[in-house]
Amino acid sequence: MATYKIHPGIGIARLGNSETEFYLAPEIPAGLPHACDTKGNPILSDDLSGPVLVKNFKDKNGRIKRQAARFQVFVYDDETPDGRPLKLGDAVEGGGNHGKLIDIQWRVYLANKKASWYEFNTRSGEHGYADNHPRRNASIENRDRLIIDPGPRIINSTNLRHASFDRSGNNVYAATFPPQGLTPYDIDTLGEILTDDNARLLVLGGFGRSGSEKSGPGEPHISHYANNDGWYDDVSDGPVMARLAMYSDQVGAVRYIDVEYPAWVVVGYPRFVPQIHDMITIDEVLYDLFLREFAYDTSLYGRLGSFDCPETVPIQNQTALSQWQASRLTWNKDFKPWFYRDIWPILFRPNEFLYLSNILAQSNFPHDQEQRGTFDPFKLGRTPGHAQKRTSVKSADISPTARDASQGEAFIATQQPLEDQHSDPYRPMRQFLFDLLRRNGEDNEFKLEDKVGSRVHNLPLMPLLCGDNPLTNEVVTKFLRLTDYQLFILKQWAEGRFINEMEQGWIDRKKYPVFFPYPTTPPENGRKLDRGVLSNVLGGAFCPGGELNWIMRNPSIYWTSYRIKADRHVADFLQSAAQANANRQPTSVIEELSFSIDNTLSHNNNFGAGLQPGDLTKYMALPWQADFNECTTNTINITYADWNTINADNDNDQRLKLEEKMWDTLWWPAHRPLQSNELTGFENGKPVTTWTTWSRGIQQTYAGDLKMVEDWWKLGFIIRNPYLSDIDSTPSTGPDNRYYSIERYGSEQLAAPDPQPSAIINPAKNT
Amino acid sequence: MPIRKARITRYDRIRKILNEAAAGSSVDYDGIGRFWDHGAKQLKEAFIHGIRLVAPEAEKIKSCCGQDVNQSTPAHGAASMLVRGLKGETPFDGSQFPRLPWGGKAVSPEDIEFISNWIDDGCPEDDHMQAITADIQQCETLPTRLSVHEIVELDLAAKGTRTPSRPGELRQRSNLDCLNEDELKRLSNAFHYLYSLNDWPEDIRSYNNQALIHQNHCQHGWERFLAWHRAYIYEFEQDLRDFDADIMLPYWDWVMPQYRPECAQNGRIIPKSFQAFLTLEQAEKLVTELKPRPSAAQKHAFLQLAKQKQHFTSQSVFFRYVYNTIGYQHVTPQPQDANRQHMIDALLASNPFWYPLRFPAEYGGKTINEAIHYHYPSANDIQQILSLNNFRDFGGGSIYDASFGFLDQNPHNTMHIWTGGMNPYYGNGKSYEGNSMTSFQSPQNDIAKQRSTMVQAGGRRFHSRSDMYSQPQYGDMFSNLTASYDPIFWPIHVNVDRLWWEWQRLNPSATPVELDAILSPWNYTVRDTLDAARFGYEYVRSSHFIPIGLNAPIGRIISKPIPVNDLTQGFRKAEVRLHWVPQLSRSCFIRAFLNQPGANAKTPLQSNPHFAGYLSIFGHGACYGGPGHCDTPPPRTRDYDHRTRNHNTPRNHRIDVTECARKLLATGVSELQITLIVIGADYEEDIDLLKLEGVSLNFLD
Repeated sequence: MATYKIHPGIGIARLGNSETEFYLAPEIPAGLPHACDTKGNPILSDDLSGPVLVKNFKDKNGRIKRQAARFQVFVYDDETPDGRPLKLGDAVEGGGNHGKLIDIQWRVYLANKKASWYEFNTRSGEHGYADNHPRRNASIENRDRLIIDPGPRIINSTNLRHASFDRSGNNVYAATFPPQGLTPYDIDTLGEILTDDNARLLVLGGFGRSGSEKSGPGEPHISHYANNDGWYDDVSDGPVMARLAMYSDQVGAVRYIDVEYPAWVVVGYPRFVPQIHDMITIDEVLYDLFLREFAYDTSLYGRLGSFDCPETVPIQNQTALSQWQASRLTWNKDFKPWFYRDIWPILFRPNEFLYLSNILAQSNFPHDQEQRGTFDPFKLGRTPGHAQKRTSVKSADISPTARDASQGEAFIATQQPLEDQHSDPYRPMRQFLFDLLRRNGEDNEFKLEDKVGSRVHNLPLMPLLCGDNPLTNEVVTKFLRLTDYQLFILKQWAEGRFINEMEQGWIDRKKYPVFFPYPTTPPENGRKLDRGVLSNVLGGAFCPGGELNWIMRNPSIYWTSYRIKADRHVADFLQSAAQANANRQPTSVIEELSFSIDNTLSHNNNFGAGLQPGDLTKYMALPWQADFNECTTNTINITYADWNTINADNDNDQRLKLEEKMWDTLWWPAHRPLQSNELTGFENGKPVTTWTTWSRGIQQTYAGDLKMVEDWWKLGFIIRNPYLSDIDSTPSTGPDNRYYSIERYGSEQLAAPDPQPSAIINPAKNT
Repeated sequence: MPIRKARITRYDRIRKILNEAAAGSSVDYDGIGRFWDHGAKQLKEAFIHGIRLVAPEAEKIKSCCGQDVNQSTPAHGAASMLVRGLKGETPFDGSQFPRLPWGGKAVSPEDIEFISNWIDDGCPEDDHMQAITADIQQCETLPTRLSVHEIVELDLAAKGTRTPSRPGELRQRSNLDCLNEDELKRLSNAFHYLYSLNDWPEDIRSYNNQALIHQNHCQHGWERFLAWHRAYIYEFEQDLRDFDADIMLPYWDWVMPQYRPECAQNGRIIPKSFQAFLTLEQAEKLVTELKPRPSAAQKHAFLQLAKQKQHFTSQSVFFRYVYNTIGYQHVTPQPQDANRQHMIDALLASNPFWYPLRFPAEYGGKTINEAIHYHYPSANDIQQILSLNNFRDFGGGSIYDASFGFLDQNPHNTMHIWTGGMNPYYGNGKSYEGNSMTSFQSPQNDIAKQRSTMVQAGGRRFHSRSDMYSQPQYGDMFSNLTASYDPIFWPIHVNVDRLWWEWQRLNPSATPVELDAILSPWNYTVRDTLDAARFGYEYVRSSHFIPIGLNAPIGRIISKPIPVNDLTQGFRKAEVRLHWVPQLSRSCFIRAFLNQPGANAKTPLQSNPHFAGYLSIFGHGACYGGPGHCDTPPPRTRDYDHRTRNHNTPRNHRIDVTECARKLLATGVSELQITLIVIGADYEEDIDLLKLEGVSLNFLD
């Protein structure tokens, strides 16, 4: 029997102020978006071998193109248990009918609940909001008007292929929008939907318009990074549902069946650095969550003693799931991660940030991949015993260049005599890197200076990026920490329990893009599509974050892995599919008649019933530009682990003042760069770049936040230098221009060349 | 079968398979290289990444999840990591390792099977391939694509010997097609009784008044549908049980193979028990009533109808048979035709489940698909509907004009249309001559949607003779105003209720939205109907009761072999139940064995495929009270005895024997024989302890 599912389970659209142009969201990690025509059909390369990647992120007026979230229906059946995309004309079945797919109806419901939601205050609310937690716009009594609710929209793939989330309510819904006359920008739509020629759905978000309804002297103004009364923006999110229309030869009639469950679309701000991964992506956050909470892969994380015969836990059965969770769960110590698939992409990432910020250069390139060798994949990836087999390795091959002052600890560690020095010469290097990683419970530790016998005494723990709350004294989380799963596989690696695909011959050393170690082939199935899309979304820190925040870590918001639990009274077609069958509804008639709808969108959460439109983005900053502008670095007070703020001044406590220590910490440079190489021209056919501040002209102040509301679209997009043909195979050894920024306002005329898709095909995650 | 010896050994062939698949790859397999290239012995011993590729022969192979795999079964190859790896099964599914061979292309399933067989045979180095050619015979394919789960409906053994009557015990609604003659007779007597009450128009118990409830109150097309009908069936069932307390309404599982769902007009159409037939008594009476008298040959033919118990799905088919085959032509479709009236009387008297205003599968010579654009439900259709994951799609939503559920709209509506049908002799039907239904009038396009308005209800005197003789355009089941006047309404709706009951088990928290809504004309709310057990019934495919009696203790219980059709293997659960066990003075275990009548206290439990399970019962200990203190209380408490339940109230126990029964049946046995051994605290049999009313074996859907 066939099951139909929408993928990706969570799709990502992005704002843009171009009214006409858009492109398709990347579906692989660190991928460039795909170019498409005005109907959303992907443009293929001349030889039809693959998609054309986007080379201009802005239209001819210099405005940022929107990113469309594309959804498609996959069929799961005996033939393809991992699913395959469903096409018009395919045989379909469901609800006791079978026939040929003739149309797909898509129903999308976007909303923005930010202005009615609680004020964002670091992690307050992650474990439920206290009764006295203040609301945004607390003085407004008519709360309903604070929700931007355009109502649902339905389109099909035949006669009604476009709809807009505008003020019209499509003439069947009483929409609520902010009043007109906002400054600086009115909000008249949350976006639009359309279908491409293959009946896939594209969701486009807003135009990036934010405005305040307050007027008078000093207005509009911004006075907080996340909460500003009177303001609205046009970010949104909501459920995506699909109904299959089949022609049944058996009865000579059209029959309908809905897909298994709604998907979800989230609108984020533009991805200005599409090809550099965040240190933790939301894909990694969710994978870790589903492993631990939903028994997603019991061969990795499961009951002690069950790994030989991994169990399948029916997660919709709460009793069974609770029973599993209450058992003795652990990570499978026999699991061997793969170096190039699993380990290296984590280790590789931080070095990329040197193209986005000065800080790494000023720290003397701590993640150097070659000269000092600390992050040399050819050493870090060597498995124990492999050197012996090859016999070509003489001794611990540590070159003199490794003796760099700042790397002394690493060098000393590698010099320690070890029994297995010959068979595993790089064990100390692996262990050193692993030991530097911040573990659970060390979220607030800058370094382990006050712990006797510390493994990495007095060295800062990694990642040295801001955590979920480096601001207030309530639930302090100063620094970012890798996920449990990441730490687990890195521990396996450090201890020598890993597989090197090159040693095994599974990948070709000559061809493998070691220095751009992400898959470049399109996702082969729906689950990989889910993950590929999410891999380009920020996974922390959540204060509140980039596209989404800590609510994504709450297992209560999921129906199953990679699927948001939807309030189906809001998410589903109002008319049931069986009713459409009974009515002999033609597929051309798709507007929802005014069935009784008794409730407005809710101002509260009901995780039992599921999420409503707007329930994911409501946690984010309002307007988004304020937080985006300010999230460059944060000066974290590291004097005491438990406190972000200490008040020495009040008591005139001189000693306390003297002891106070700070660390300027990056937030997430791959989502909000600080500096970049900027393309200034071409010389002899080669790009000429200048290292400069990426958002220069917009300071990190409230005035700057306000300016960002108007100028966000003028910023440049940072791409991987398409003129350097060998950067995928050569290590980064310091400042070079392997990434540079293009299309900054005023320099759009510097044409970006065709970035060619890598000729090298990475191995897929599952071979 | 000609057998010829091949020149190369099987091992050579395997090397060739693997080398071809690995062509172009330089993978060195953890340093050992192409492990299959160094001889059969080395292959047998090869390890990569600590994993042995060929499962060792000597050790017992543990299959997944700890079950010992019997060495005689050829699971050896399939369990080998080499075979799993070639198939791409865990851990060679890409999570830990890629599919074997690494860097090459996949090996075909046939070749994997070849390798697997070779491992099963102990990895011989030098045996030769045998090429076997056999004539391929055209296999007869099953007429339908039914899953075993759906088509199993077993004949019941020792039926009707006991009906549970103890307090708190659920009663069992079972499969209509599995009822025996006695059970059908008792049920039909009860129906007959309710029909007879129609003579008192004010008597609420009468069949017509019960049917009137549906006409006036029934709920369709939204979420009240299932809840309302659950209450309705229950109320009607109680009405029947006022006449015979032992009967329960059966369900018609309309996807069973005899109905041939894929071409249902060629199947049985409706259950035999609801078809028209003549008893000998009625046939003999009929031939004396007909004018003119039938000829001797015709008379003989009428009696033969009864003697052979020939069945007819409708009056149309019956009358055409009389006219054209028996050759008695003094009968016309006219309602006032006396001979036709006599024949209808005789058919009604022969079978109270038959109903003349029912024209199943008759659509003017067209199929239901062509005429109505609805199709008879198949087992696959029902599986699809049971797989729906929310109540709105399954059973209907809370918006009354927009929320048909699939169960309601598709199989339910279809079965109404199917059984109602269109009367071929409506209107201008003048004669039963010939076999075509020429007088058919073309149905309107949206007939299925409008079926509530198609049938005339006003002005009728239901179940009166004049009504039974009439020639309406549609059968009564066609419209919800008249549907339940036809007794076939009940088994159809009981089956709908059963499907909801099954679906509830799959979706325990999925409910209608408006749980407080009242279900008129009763005072049930929707919420009251969610738990079927509240109404005292469960659904079982079949149940086999072995009466024992409470008179004396029993040490060992061995049932007669209970015949089990080989289609039974789709049952969800098999249970041995111990009924009404009084408090025991000593503790004991009760061990259950299937098909091991000789089992005793020493019979091993480990690795014994006949051991089905056990239960333990705590003993009550010696009585410290005076006479009567620990007597078993009466089955029902006295009036006004509101004290808590007596601690000595007998209990029911159940042992889940699903696994054991499944495995035994999978080996091809066709009978299950229950052996129960009572084991005392000393691990010896205790033959003087257990008392019980009986034991049953139950197959649950």
